[in-house]
Amino acid sequence: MDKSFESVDWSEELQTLVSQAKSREDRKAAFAFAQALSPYLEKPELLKTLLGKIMQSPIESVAIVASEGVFKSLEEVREKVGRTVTVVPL
Amino acid sequence: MTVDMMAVREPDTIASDVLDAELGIEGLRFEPNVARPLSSERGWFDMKVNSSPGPLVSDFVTHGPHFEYSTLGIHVGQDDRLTFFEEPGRWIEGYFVDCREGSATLHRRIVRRFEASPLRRLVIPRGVAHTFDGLSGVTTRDEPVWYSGENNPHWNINNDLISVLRTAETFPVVQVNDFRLPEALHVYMTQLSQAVLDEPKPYSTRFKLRIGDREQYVMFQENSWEDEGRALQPLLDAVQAPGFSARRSRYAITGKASWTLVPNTGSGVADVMHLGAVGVDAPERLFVHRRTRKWYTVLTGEGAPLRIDCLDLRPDSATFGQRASFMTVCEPRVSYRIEPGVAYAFGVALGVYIRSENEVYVDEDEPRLDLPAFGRDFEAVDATGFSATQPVPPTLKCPDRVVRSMARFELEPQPH
Repeated sequence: MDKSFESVDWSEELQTLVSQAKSREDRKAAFAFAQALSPYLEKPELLKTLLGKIMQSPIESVAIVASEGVFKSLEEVREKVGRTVTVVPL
Repeated sequence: MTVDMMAVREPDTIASDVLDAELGIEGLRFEPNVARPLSSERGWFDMKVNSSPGPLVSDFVTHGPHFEYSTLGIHVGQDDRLTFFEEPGRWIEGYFVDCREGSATLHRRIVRRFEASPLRRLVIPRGVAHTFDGLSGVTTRDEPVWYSGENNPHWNINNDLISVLRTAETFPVVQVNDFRLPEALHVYMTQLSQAVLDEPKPYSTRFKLRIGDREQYVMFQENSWEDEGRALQPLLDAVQAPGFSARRSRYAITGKASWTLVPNTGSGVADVMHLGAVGVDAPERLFVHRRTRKWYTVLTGEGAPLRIDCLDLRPDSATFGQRASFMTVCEPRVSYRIEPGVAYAFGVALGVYIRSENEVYVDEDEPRLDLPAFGRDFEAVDATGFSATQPVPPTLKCPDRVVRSMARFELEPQPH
């Protein structure tokens, strides 16, 4: 593919595609999609892989955190999973 | 070893010749793929599995040795359409739980056992939790269909997967997205993921936790898998010839020595070819496309010996007639880019599946009667003797939508 992340104005391209949606259903889908994606395009450092995939078994510390499920703070979560895991609240 | 509450259930086995079947949860089913045998030209592919009807975008997930899932995954805005590629005899167990709000089969749990096959795809509706056993060495093609939604707290476009431990005793109820994305936004999304994955990134999990007095989703990104797998750079450096180059595939890291490959080309269209066990001796024939830049990625047989031969047949090239041969290994993180007019052949000792992507070229002065017609751009040439008169390949690259139109045309019933 000739497009790199830096060489394209992804927000502008997205707006163009939204404006080109023809049917009512397509417009609704395109608008909701743009609304969900735009915050990430404004802060691209937050973009991960954009893929929905099951990951191989998480490391033990993450599995323990997921299993316990209840914590006082995010700091407590970060301490439990260790330094090799980045914790991102959503 | 995972203590898996679902494993105690006796799975129903789906016979290997069943291509079209409902599996017990509404919308969960097998559908037949568009697959056909190819010419018996020795050394060429013996089967082609086309992209399926729909948005014509795909990604591929490889599964390394000892791969196992300890979670089920739920998509909120994505129907999965999975084809499992591996040689015959590989059995897989799939575990499914319906988590869709309002579903008549909410929280129904089923287990199905089936053989990997290029001839059918498994459709998993969004909102149905799923996981698999037996995927080590198998590569799955996903041809997702994406949906957006309004004010859906379960959906995260950056990571559309809610993870649930296999040991969980209860499963969530999830509101799924309703609005199917138009095709142009599927293409946009796949191009964006390609751009984001210009450098490999580790994948992440998302769990719902109670933090303080409120429930929220938290994403965990593990950074310790980045150096897993064999060193890549030597494999890229070793296979370089005029008009034939090894390039790093675009991928995310989904586990130890396990990768999710996204497309190399802007069209997002990828077919899958099967190369039989033709051996790794010098080939008698090479194959050339005059109008097409090919991208190939070997999806299965990771680590097995792979022979590559190529021959520059571009008369305007300074290296016209130059031949090269390489012995390397099958590795999904490497894609081979072959320019129009460069002949090639692959050789393997065991059958493998290979992703095939196209970029199509046209000349300023068409019709070019010395070139094959569009859609029939394939010639076999003698590996040892070739004509000194070869056509000059065209240089104008067609827009991505042309490649998509050609793929769609190929899915239509052809006259005999």
